[in-house]
Amino acid sequence: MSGRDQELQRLREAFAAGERAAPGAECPTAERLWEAARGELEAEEVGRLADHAAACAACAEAWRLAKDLAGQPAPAATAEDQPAARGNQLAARRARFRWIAATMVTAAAAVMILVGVKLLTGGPKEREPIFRGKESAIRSLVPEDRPLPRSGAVLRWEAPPGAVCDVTFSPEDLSFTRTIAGRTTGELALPAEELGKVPAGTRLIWRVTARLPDGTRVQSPTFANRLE
Amino acid sequence: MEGRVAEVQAELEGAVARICPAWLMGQRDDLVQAAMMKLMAAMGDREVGGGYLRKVAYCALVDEIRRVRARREVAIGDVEEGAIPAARSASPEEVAAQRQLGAGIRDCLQGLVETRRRAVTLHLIGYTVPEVGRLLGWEEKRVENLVYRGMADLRECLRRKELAP
Repeated sequence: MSGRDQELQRLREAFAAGERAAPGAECPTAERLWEAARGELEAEEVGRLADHAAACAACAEAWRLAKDLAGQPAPAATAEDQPAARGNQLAARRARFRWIAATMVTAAAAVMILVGVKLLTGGPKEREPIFRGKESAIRSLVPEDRPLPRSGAVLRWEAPPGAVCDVTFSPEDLSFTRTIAGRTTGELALPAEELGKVPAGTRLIWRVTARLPDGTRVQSPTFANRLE
Repeated sequence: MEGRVAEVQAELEGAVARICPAWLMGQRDDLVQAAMMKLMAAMGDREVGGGYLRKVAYCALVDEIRRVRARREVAIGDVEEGAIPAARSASPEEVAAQRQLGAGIRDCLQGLVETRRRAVTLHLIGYTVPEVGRLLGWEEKRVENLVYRGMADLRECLRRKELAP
């Protein structure tokens, strides 16, 4: 990495990480930042968000996260305002379109050949795995129709033999999250002091992550039980 | 779906590790767990595409980070960052210097003309020149020029503040 690259890296890190202030009411929603990072917003809107991020480290950090997760942005929705530049852009877009069209024709031909070969050979059909709570290797043994008592509440689940389980639970509003690790018995007595903070009738959501004897990890669906 | 959820969780963990500041790193697992629980609760048993899943996970993660930032501000005010357990090995002096540099950058950006400020801000967020061009709808050559001049302005401003990057 060159000296200039290292300097840019330091500037980028400092820019997004230099402040602890909480986001304000004027901060854009996470969804808006995601759309900006994906190139799904009008160019002028992206510009306004950039103006905000220039002064707000929390949003600059959130935008960096969006960029990291969202990948390459799509082209902006509006063109440059100068006629000459717009002409250049249109020419570039036409050239790009011709290239994309040629690529798509080639890809379509390749797909047709593959489909034909598959039909002739009768190859197996691949199925996307479907997530269903009841099909998971871990299932809740807490009845959903009965509220959990506020004292002496116990979460129970069934996991594969030999599993060591970490249990994460939280009230529905996620005002806190706790993880209790290393359960081998398939049950967890909820600490009364934690439940004391939660209003009556709140849904408690919880999830189990099991480490199996062969080293693999299995996650349960998220279970929900109402508190008394 | 389960495989995709695990994949998204791994991506969130990686992104937080790469990008979040040291004081948030100590809470990385809790942040990601909370975001994933929110995601799973919202999804239920519905089948959704990977792109949508990633978007919902990102939004849940950012909401969590914002909640932690807000709670932290109320709870401990202006306590030094070094007091918080951090996964990255930065000394308190390094952390303080980075914060000072960050504040200097934000201050200097306000002094740039709008087009340079927008181009440089996106560049500092991590976008390349062609990507900035795509986002702002500008020709690559123009963005290159704006980033070059804007970064020079920024360096000069930081130098005047005695904040060498």
